[in-house]
Amino acid sequence: MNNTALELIQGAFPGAACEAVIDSVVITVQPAEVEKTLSRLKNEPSLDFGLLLDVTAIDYLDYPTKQEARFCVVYTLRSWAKNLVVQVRIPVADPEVGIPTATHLWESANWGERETFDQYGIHFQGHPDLRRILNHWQFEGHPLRKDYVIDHRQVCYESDSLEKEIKARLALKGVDDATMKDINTEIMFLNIGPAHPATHGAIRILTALDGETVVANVNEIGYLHRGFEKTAEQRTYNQVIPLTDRLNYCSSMMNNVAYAKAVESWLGIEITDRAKFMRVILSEFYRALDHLVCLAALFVDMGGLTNYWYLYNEKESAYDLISRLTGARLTSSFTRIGGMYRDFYEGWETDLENQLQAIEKGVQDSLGLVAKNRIVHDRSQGICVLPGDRALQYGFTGPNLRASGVEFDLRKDSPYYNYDAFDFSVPVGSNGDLYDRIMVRFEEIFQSISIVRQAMKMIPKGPVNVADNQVCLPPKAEVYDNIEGLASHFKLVFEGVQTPAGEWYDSFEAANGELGFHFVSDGSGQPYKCKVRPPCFYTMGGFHEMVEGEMIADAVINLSSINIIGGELDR
Amino acid sequence: MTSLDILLIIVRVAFGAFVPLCFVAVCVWMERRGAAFFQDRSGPNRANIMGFRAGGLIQNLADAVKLFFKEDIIPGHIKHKFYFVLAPMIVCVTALVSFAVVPFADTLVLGDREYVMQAIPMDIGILWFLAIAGFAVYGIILAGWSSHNKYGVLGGLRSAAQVISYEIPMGLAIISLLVVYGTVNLSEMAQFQGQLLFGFIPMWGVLLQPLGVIIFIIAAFAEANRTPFDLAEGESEIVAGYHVEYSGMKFTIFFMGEYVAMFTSSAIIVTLYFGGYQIPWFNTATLLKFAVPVALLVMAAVPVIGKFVAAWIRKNNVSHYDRENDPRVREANVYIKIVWGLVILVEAIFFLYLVFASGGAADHILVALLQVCTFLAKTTFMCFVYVWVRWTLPRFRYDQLQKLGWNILLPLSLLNIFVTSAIVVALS
Repeated sequence: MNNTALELIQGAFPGAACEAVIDSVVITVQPAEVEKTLSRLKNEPSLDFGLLLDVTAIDYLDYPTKQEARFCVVYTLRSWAKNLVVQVRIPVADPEVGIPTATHLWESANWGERETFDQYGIHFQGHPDLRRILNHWQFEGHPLRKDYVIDHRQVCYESDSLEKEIKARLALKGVDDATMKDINTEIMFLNIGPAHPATHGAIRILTALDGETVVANVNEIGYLHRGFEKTAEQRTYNQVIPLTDRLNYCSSMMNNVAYAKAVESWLGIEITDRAKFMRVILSEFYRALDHLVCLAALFVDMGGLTNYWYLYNEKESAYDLISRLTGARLTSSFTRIGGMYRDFYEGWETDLENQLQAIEKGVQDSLGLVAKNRIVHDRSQGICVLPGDRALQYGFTGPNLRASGVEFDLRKDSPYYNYDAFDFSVPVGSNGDLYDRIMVRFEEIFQSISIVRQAMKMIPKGPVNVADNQVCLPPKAEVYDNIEGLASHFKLVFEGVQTPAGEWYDSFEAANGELGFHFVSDGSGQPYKCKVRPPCFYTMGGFHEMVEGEMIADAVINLSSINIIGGELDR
Repeated sequence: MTSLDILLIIVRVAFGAFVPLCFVAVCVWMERRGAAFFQDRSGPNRANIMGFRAGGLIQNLADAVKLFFKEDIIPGHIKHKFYFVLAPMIVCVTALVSFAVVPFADTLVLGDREYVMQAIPMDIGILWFLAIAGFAVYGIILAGWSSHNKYGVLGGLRSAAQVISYEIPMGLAIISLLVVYGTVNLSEMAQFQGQLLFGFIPMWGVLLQPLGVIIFIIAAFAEANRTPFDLAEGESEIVAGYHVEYSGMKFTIFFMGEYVAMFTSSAIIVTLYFGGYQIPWFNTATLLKFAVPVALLVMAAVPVIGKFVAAWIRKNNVSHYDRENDPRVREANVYIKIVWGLVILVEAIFFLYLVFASGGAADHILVALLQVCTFLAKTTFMCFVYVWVRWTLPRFRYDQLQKLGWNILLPLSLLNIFVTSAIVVALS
């Protein structure tokens, strides 16, 4: 597959340097060529890279091998129909001058480039709204640059009024003071959040209201930004796993799995069959739990509190199982590079089956209240619609994209961990409204439960860790009785898993969408760079388009329907 | 004015004032335990006095104490402090006062004097309710406006729009009811419902006005600002709407006002459509005629009910895990003793009545007491329906609520008036 992809890209861009890395093709172009290359990648029917997954940059200041420029911007693109991933690398000679923006091609470039500007200080020429996004607006310096010292703390006090931004958005909508005067009214500005029951965390949704209708909306995120990527650069690969718990904390295990899978894919490790099945079982179990939380919160926002209990009670009781398995309720940290922390405990099948049945019952109870409820239908059908092409523009993935009618699921389109062996279907919505997003999640819960049951029947016996002392800790007997075992244990703990130098991107279908990891390795046991492609960061980037023209009550439900999780959004 | 007159005035006013207030505790308890029941959880069952939890009622007491001792805060940005303080009072007082016209028993005849069993014996009845209940929204609007808070203003606006769109169908539903009953006096309406249709069906409003009752109940829910019509609060959207800036006792008064309003509108629904204080098939005359057999029946029934209640307490008031000397069992033992004590008390009263006082004034008082119990039982059940609906349905959106009011309920209630009048004219 990779060779055909490489040939395709090489054929389209004969002058550029192309190479295949794992599942993706990396193409390096000079800043002058960027606009042409990107627009061809997007618009040429034979290429059709409609989904801009992520924008990031790499700072080669401390990199052992000399690169052609200190900075390099990377656009990660996906052609969902053809199942191709392309990374476009652009060396940036001068960050102040920067490179041309891609916002006219993909809406998702807007937030992606803002983040790159914020973290690396790279200018994007022609970007409509280039300002900080994750860090505070008063923050000085660019934290992901290698010369930014990690413990250099800054205290920022002033909140951002966002007045300029919301006025610009209003002007874009054709609302200015003159029209307001004509109809003898005033726009009311209302901050929903950062501390508001509907934000389920801390997001600031600034709305300009006409009555209760949202005319314009600007969002401020970053309240939970804790520098995941900067911290990851200071730790060995295994030490990053506890940090990944805190990304999407509603499905912490999926982040663990996605992270471990990404590292293993570069190491070229084939994990044991049992570990694969464990990861599938736990991922799908967590997918169901994640959707339970999302739907529970959504119905609270809609005013149907009873649904919350029917759904969340099961999530809560699942924690018993999870704590028995992992030792923690929320922060599972259950994977290791090359396998799992440990095998299932004895009797897990019964516990898991009971829990699955309880989830099914809870979901059925809730559906009984919701499925034929006219109030729910009125509140969700045709509300906050985002058609498929716009969803792709904004870089939506996962259930939100599928609700908009795009049948893209990495488990089907680019199967990993034997997903092609399971019998499951991918629910797809038709309108991209709230109702579709709700129902897609309900159906995915049932599909995930079915996958878990199939995998429970198929799971083989055997070890859960690869028998490679360079990757996985050797058994304790070897460590205590054998100098080689002791040495590998020591090296693994102190230096981490040694990865060959290079760069790669690997993706995983998490509960919220495509969770990708972009790594740069300098050959040591610590990631030189670890960039997360969080699905809900880009979903949030499209929030304003969904809610403008709708009412406050809809905006609030919409926020829960796209399942924004602060930990993953702000990192 | 005899001392009996004065006594009865005191009794009636006390009933009108304290029963709704006492029912705040009952309604809050029912809300919490009811919600827990619907949501597969336990609800409040920890707060206790000397180990006695009274099924969670002590929680209300604890909350009340907490709210009493909270600092009385008026945020500094509030300019109109008077209105800010006034608003919760309007909400609570209007709810309380609108109960004053609800008859809780048939006219009591003692000797040659008749006493209308309402806190304020008035003929205008339902008009009083409409006028006063409509006034409650001023409290909400005032609270929203004087809070000087955008969420508050939105809540107040929503409430204003909601009340306007639902007062009209409510009023129209009442008009068709007036056509049927031919009176605005609530006592007379309740008396009307003591008759029998075709000689065997109680002539309750719900049977005479099946469409009207639906319209009225929907409108009453909207007036009481409860889910699915709790837009003015809209917890998840506009935080708490009109009472976002209120805390401590001022919030408590809003909170109490909401439950008093719920109780009052339950009482009104019961009076208008569910026979008021009437016991089906036993109107006042029948009861008076068969006072002694009825008393015997009650005497027979009370121990049976006591037995069931005791068994229910025994079954449910236990710890759900193994516990030595389960304190909950000890607690249950006391409750069961209290239940049997009450049974014995009731039996003794009836016994004394049968031996010494049957016939004459005591019959009238007995009937009135039975009717008060019936009325309270019906109203409690209606309150439960409020709770039931609240924990079943999500909330409407602002514009959908208006659509329901104006596009559906209004034409339906007009149609109802037309059909009702046509039938009444045809029958007369």
